[in-house]
Amino acid sequence: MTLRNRFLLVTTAFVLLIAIGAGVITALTLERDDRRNTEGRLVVTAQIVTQLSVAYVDRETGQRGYLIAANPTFLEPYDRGRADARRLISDLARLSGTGFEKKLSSVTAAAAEWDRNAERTITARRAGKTVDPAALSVGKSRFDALRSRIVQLQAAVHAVSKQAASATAQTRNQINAALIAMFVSALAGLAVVAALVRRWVTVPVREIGGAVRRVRAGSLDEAVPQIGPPEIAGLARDADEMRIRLSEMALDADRARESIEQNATVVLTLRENLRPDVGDLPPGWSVAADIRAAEGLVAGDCADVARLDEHTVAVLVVDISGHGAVAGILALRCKELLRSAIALGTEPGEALESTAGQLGALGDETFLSALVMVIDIDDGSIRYANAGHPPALLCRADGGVVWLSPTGPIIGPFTSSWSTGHATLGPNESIVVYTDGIIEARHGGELFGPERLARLVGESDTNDARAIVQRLLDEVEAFTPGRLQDDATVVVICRPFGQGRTPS
Amino acid sequence: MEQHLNGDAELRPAVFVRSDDPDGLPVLVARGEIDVYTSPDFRRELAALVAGDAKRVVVDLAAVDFIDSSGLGVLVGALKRLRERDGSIVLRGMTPSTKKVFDITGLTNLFSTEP
Repeated sequence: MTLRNRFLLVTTAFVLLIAIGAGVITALTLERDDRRNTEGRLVVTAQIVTQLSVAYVDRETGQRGYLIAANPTFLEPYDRGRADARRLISDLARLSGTGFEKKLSSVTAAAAEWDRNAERTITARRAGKTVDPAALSVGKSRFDALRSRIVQLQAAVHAVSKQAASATAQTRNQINAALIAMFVSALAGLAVVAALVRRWVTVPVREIGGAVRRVRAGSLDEAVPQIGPPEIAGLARDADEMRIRLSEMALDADRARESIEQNATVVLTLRENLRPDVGDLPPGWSVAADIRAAEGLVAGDCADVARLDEHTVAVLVVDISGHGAVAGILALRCKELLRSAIALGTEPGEALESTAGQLGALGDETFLSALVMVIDIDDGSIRYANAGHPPALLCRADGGVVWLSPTGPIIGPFTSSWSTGHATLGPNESIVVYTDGIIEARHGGELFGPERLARLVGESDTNDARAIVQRLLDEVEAFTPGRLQDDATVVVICRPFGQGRTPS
Repeated sequence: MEQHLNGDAELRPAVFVRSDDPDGLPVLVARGEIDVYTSPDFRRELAALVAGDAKRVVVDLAAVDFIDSSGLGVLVGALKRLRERDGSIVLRGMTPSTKKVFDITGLTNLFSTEP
C-alpha cells in the first residue's frame, strides 16, 4: 500500500475516533441538560406543593377562626388561600409530564371535599346557626386527609427530584469518563502514528540515506536497499539505478582514460616520426626546419632534409589539407613515398607523380600540396617539383628574390602530372620552403603574406638557418593572436660564401 | 529561395546567400572569409545547391576576402560530386588574391571561371 494511502487510512481512523468521541460527549451533554431541566422543574414543583400546603393551612386556620369568633376578618386568609390554591393547582397541572398527575388529582379531590364541608359550615355560621360538631369533625378529618395527600405529593416530588439529581450526577460522570477516554485514545492514536511514521518513513529513509552516503563516498558497488512504502522504495530504486549508471560511467571513464593513454603513445610516436629530419650537410652549410601545429600535438605538415649521397641533399615539405592525427598519418605516408622515390634517383616531378599514384583516392575534400627539391651541394644546382605548394623563396646574395612556383596542381582531387623545375643556390644565398600556414596567418583582415616573409629573411643573417626559422615562426605566432589557424612549417637552407663551384 | 547564414559575426564574418541567377542557374554568393571556422556553413550551403538537379552551379566569390585550404576542399568535394553527372562549378568574380590561391594550387583549370 502506498504511503499516501497508509496515512489516509490512519488519518481517517483517527478522525473517526474523534468523531465518535465527540458524538458520545454531545449526546451525554444533551442528556445532562435535559435532566437538569427536569431537576429544575421538580424543584419548582416542590416549591408549588409547599405553597399549596401553606395555602390550605391558611384557609383551614381562617375557617376555624370564623366558626369560633364569627369575625369576618378570619375569612380573609380563607378566601386568599382559595385563590392561591386555585392558581397553584393550575400551575401544578401546567407542569405536566412529571408523573404526579394522579397524586395531584387525589389532592384536588380531597381539597374539593374539604372545601364543600368548609363552605357549608361557614354558610351555617353566617346564618347564625351553631356549627354541628359532627360537621366540624368531618371537616377536620377531611383536612387531615387533604394534608396527607399533599404530604404524599411532596414525598413523591422529593423522591423523583432525588432520582433526577442522581441521574444528572451520573450523566456528568459519564461525560467526564468519555472526555478522559477520548484524551487517552488521542494520546494512544498519536503514539501509534509516531510508531508508524518511524516504521514507514524514518527507518527506511535512514537506511537508504546511509547507503546513498556510502555511494557518494565512492562505494559504487554497494546497492541502495529498496525498502519501505512504494514511494520511498521507488526513490531508493531511482537512486540505485543512478548508482549503477555511475558505476557504468566510471567504468567507461576508466576505459576511455586507458584508451587515451594508449592513443597518446601512438600520437607521440606519430609526432616523433613527423618531426623534421635534418641530415648532415657539409661544413659551412646551415640547415634548419621546424613545425608548429595548429591543433594538438600533431600537424598535417611534415618536412625532411636528407643527404642522399655526398653530392646531393633532398628537401621534402608536405602539407595535408586539415590537421590532427588523421592528417599527420597521411603526411607521414606521403613523406615516406616521396623519400623512397627520390632515394631511387627519380626526378622530383616523377616522384610526385608516382606518389600521387600510390596514394590513390583521398577523401572527397582531402588533398595535399608538396614541394620536393634536390640540391647539388657541389654547385648549388636545384631540381624541384612543386605540387600546388606556396612558391619556395630563393634569396639571392644581391638581395633579390626568386619564387620557385608550382610545377603542377595539388595532389588528390584529380589525376595530374608535374614537371621538374631548375634553379641555382649560389654562395651566400639561402632558400626557404614553407607551408601556407606561414603566409596565410591572419590578423583581422591582414595576411602575413609572402612579401613580409621575404623581407624578414632578407633582414636575417643568411648563414644561420636556425635563427631564420626561429624568427619566422616567432613572427607568425606574434602576428596571429591566440592559436595558429593552420600548421606552420619552415625549412631554411643556407649555402656558405665561397664554397663549392658554380654549375656549369 | 534565399537563406542567410552567419559564421562568428564578431571575429570571422562570413555570409552565404543562395539564389538563382537570371539564366536560372543556382548561385551561392559568399562574402567574407572562408576558413576552417566558416567552412562548415559553406559546405552545407554548397551541398544544398549541388543536391539539386542542376549540372552547373555558380559560386560567386566577388566579396570573398580570403579562402584557405578548408574552403578549397569544400569546392573540390562539391566539384567531384558534380563531375559524377558531368557537371561543373562556375567561379564568378574572383578577386586577384583569391585567384592567386587557385593558381598556386593549380585548381583554376578544374573550375570554369567568370569575371
